[in-house]
Amino acid sequence: MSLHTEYANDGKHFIIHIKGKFDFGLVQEFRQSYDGLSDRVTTVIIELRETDYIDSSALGMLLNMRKSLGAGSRNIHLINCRPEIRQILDISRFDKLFIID
Amino acid sequence: MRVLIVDQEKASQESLVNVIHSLGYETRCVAIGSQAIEVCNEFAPDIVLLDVATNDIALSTLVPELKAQTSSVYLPIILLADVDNTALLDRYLQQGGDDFLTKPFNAIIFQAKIRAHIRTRELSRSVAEQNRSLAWHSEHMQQEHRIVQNIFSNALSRSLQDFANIQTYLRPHTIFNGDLYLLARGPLGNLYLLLGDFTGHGLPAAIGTLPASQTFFAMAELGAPVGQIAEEINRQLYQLLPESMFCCATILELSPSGERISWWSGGMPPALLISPTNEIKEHLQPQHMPLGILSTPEFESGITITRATPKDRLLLYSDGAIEVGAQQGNSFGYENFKTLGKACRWQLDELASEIERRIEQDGSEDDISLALLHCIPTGLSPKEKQQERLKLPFQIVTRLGPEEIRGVDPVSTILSGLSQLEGFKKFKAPLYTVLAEAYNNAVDHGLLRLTSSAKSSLDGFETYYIERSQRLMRLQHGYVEIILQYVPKEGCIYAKISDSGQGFKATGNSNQGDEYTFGRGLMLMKELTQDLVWSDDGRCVEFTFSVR
Repeated sequence: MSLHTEYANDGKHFIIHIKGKFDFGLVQEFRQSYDGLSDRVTTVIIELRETDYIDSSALGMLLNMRKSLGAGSRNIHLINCRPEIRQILDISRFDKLFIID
Repeated sequence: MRVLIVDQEKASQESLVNVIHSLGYETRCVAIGSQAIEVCNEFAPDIVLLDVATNDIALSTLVPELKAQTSSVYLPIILLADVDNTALLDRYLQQGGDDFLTKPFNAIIFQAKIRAHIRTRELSRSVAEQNRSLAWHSEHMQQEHRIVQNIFSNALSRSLQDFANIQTYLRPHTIFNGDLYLLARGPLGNLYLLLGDFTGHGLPAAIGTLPASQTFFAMAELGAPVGQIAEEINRQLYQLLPESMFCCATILELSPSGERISWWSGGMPPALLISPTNEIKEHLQPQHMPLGILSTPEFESGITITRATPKDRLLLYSDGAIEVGAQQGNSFGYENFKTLGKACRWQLDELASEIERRIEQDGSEDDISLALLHCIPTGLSPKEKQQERLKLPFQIVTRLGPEEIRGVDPVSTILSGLSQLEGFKKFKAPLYTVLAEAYNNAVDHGLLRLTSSAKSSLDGFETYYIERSQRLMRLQHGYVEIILQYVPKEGCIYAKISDSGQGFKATGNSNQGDEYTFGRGLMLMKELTQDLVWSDDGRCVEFTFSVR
């Protein structure tokens, strides 16, 4: 499991890549990754293409992130979910709070 | 050197032979034309001395016939005549002779003429030789080109064909294209596109398309992010290409919805995002150096994300398109290109025929490529490999004490093993989720006696996990047991997870709206399993997971 972040070239998109297992093992690293985010960032993107596993603690971490970034003031996109991961997000009705693409 | 003498008079023959022998050449004498034709093939003369008085075959037939015997190499035919009548000689020469000698002849002049014609024949022979060699090389090169062309077309055949959401106009300057257009589907229904332009054109420029295309296809199949694809192609080209060669490229990924374009671009003219009303909404300015120039540590893989609204189009093009006519100092130019595009309402076929028209007028010296991508849902469904499921029943039993709980993650270890088995891969994510929920409940609430409600505040969530790891460090006693039983006949896995803890009361949080941060695990378990039951005061949970 690992996490790495990057700003897109225009500085408006902040991308968090999560590789392998997305669970509470990443709890601190994940929270720190979006601490002190630049004001220019309008959209945070959680890149899940390399995420193999996800559990409810990851869902909690995502919700905390949403609260912490000021719910609704910045778009949070969960992108490139594998169908199995998508199923878990759908069961939890995450499509209401996040843009799943 | 061999000299064929055609003369009826013995005396004349003899004097000719004497002079020719003094030159060190071989001779053969015949009396009439038909004999001359007969010996020609076998004797293979380098020069023919023909008395015009030979009249069994007309001169105008005999001369061409003799010439035809020696194919492509010039065979000098010198006419011998008794006259000093220039008008008559001229007539003879018109019948095909190359030169003439009047009898009686002067030996010096005769020798000089023979030598001169032999030199011409030598020259002709060497030209014929060179022509043969050229023809061979040309044929050889064509054959090699056919093979190489075949390799190129095989290499590019993996590109997604006949995809309705994209139109292209690809016009290589020679049979080998130094522009590279590749399209591939990703495993999640994404679309990958690469438009590249190698330095120069023709075969040297096209060579680099081989490794670049193979890397692109392999990484697209794995669903790699575009920044990584760019980095890998750069690494290969940096290693392979000479310093003066590189590849300008735009690599992009269109999300399945068609609304998100993630792109990396180096050295290409800016792609244009065009609205349904034909306005240019955005110039996708390249942010980087072309591929193949920077070493991996120097390389920048940063991408840009551009959002498209439905029915936007994205036009990518190589610089050949804007440099039509450049060699005549009449370059089309970027602004004209945009004006033309707008006039064509950015219809690719119209734009292409306008460019064709300009090429006819001003010429072109580069490969030209245009690709127009329609930003609509890709319609590509995620790939799923159908695999037959393992028929062998098995059971996994593991009991973990404090030491193991601290040291290993049993659920992901079990899952990475299971996912190796036939037909299990596609279930690994949901099976992980439910097992992880059950196991974490057993550890957190059973052995460590944590309560989920602590997670409800923003700080609480993190505090909960800090507390968890502290309690886990101190844990001295207890165990968690995991039993998985695979029953292939029923297409399911029975799971039983029990612990030695204080027991646990499963309460859902279904009335808390969408934003509660705990209790989701139970909901996931209920949704993803069947026959979910707790027993032994919550110390044991059992469920059935379908692998059908």
